[in-house]
Amino acid sequence: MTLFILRRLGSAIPVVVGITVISFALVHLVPGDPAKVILYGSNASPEQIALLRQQLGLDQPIWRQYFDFGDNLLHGNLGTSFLTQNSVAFELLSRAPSTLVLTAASMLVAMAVGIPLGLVAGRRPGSILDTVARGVSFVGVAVPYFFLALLLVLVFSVKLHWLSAIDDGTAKSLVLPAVSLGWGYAAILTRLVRGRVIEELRSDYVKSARARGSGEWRVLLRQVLRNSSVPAVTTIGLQFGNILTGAAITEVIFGRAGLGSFLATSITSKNIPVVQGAVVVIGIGYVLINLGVDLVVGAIDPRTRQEAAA
Amino acid sequence: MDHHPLHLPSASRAVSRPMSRRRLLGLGGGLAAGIGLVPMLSACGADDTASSASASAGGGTLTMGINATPDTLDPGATGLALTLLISFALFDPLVYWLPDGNGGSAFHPGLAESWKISPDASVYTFKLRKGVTFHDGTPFNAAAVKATYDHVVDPKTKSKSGLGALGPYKETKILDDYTVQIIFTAPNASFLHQQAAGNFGISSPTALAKYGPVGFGNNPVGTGPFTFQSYQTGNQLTLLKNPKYTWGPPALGTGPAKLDKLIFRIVTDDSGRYNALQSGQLQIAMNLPPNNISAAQKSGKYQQLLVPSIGTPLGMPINVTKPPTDDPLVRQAIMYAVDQDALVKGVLYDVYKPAHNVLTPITPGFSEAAGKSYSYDPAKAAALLDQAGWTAGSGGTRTKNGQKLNLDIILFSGAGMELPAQFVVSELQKVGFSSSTSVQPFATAQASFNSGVHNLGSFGYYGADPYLLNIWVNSNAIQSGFNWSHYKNPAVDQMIAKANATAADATRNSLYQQVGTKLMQDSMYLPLWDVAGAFTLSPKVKNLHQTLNGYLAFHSATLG
Repeated sequence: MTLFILRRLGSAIPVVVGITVISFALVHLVPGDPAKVILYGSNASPEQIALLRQQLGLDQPIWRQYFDFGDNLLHGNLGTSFLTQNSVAFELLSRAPSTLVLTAASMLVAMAVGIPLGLVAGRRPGSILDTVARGVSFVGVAVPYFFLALLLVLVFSVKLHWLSAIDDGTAKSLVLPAVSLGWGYAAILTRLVRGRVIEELRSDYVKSARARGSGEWRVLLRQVLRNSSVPAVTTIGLQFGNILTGAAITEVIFGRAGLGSFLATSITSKNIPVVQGAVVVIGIGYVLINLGVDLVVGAIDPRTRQEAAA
Repeated sequence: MDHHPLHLPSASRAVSRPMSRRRLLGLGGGLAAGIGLVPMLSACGADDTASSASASAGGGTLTMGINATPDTLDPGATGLALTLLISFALFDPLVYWLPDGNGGSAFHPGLAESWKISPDASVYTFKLRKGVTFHDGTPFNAAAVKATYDHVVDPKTKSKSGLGALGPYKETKILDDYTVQIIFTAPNASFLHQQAAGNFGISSPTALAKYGPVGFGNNPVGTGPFTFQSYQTGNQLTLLKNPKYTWGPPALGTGPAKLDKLIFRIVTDDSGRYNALQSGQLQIAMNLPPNNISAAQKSGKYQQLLVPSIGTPLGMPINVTKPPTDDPLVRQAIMYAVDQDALVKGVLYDVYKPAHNVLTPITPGFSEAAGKSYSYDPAKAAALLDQAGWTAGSGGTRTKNGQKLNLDIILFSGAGMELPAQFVVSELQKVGFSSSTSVQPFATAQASFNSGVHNLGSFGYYGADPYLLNIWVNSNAIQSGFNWSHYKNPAVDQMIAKANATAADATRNSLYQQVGTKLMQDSMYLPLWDVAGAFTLSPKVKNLHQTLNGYLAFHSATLG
């Protein structure tokens, strides 16, 4: 098991190096001078622009800039934000909790809605409950999350004054962003679980369990749900990257100071150290989540555990 | 309240129109530097002018939604105009420069009781106020002034707008504990305006030493009406009332702030700020887009405040080197073809003021005559194009020697210029231009502007002094600066330099007026609307004052 984890982590190194090279190249390929972005409107003479370029290390050749970045990274230093002069690690850390909380809450919404709905829908395909569940998931997949977010704000904040329009640090203000971001994944999960449940209910082991006299719910929860969750868990892991993309927009709409919105504004303002740092951190996060998913799947399904050990 | 003279007679009307500095600043980051502080107005109800009872009641927490994330809380280091808004609450300048409520402006003693400027504008002597203490208890004196200015020029500070605004700084000389001289290596007539703009809020020398040139940006300590409590990065900045504050200019109110707490909440999304205003989480929303401002006004629930700024109006630099706009006749045709008044009414919901000049009307050196160089006259535009050899053909687009009369338009996103530019395009089509427009992120657009691949670009500038013209018309700023018109005129460069070397206001202003007139004659900039701060606020918010860079001062603000 330890060997499995180490091997997976080892294989992550080329992945992380690869994404830093690609993102570094992309952010430099886009024309534009970060020094001028920073100095626009600030009485800056051409001399001052040149001075800032020098202070930011932008006068160095690109390979040298990448090398310095890599060197710092190996020393555990993500660099300094062009804009604030604070360390990139500080900037990312101060925003990470907001994004992690939002991601977790959205996933919770997705699971709390998607799994039970899929289960009841799959148990009796064609029933009224199933029709309702399919309707809900259809809407969830079809309606973009940012549209849903704006709609929810209009109804629950602006009109009814029940919930906050922007983040105020309370759990209550997390409700709208988590629901708007999680709903689409709830819809995907519903469909996934429903399909698996229908399939599993037809399988031999279910028939034999029933034949042994197991209660209907016991069969459903102990056997069917367990077997249906493997693809669901894998999907949740894969959705991590998507959620982060969605978080960027959701964070902007709800005024949340998170990683997603921060990365987006850093890209447009060519805050290169922040972009690089965020890409590294997100890349590592992605690798870790996938590792976690593999471990969870192993726990649920012993067959994959054996493959991993082999 | 003691600041009657500054009250606008009918604040609620005066207040009714603004728009978007945010945009300018927002994304790209940019921002303008600005300046000065000033004016004021009672933001609120038209009739509460004399309600000193409600003003003295005080207390409460005022939350204002701002549209960008401050780069630092150190006004000396910042490159973002937004930080200057915060600076007015935390710091005092040596001399305040405030709007007088009648379209003019006046200087008021701040931390300096009096000041003297040498005739060549290179030595500024300040007599300082006694009995002032910083938020950390450090006494204010000449050493603090020196520490503040030396901090701005310290390379470790990596100062952005402050360094540019300071110009040819040589040193600060302490004559005695309460007398300082700020000395420049060359004449610098813009300094009195610049020092009032917010970048040079006097900072605690103890805190500067304790936190270092960069760390001070996370721990600002000044003498202002509010003290720094906390900053949650990218989220909100919380300030507390400074109970000891008694040295503010009477024009902004006497005694300590009335509010207990002042919160700046960062909400970059426009509709997010409007939603939060409606849900009651914000009492003031800054720079909402014109359509939201219009909706807010129609609802009848909010006050609207338009705070004019010193600077260059939002508009489009016209590239004088790339065909077809290298031909002065073509450029003049553009100036005659666009109706700014219709633009403001039709696209900006009448929120902002149309602009016809390279400087806004409250900017010293503004030339009234220059603003009359062109009028909306499509027939004249057509005649000029005829004269330039561009003949009307089939399809509506003019041609010359088989070439179409086409303009390449480049805009940067986030500046609120997309819709107004569409209006401009339709105006130009009417007289026979065709055009292609591309919208780029700020970083990309400015590279395009420097390389000169555009005919029309996008620009706009919040400033502190007409010397700001130097950064965007000087010949040395074409390759890597902000001269996106690619305008090269050594005579204009010299006139601007001469103006900034002239201490006498009248002479200096007349030089800037000549420059403005010349720039308009050369039709190198198509002004569209005046830069101004737009604030949509709950009617409970009262006794706000305006500053000369389109911001607000909260010295005597109350929540009714």
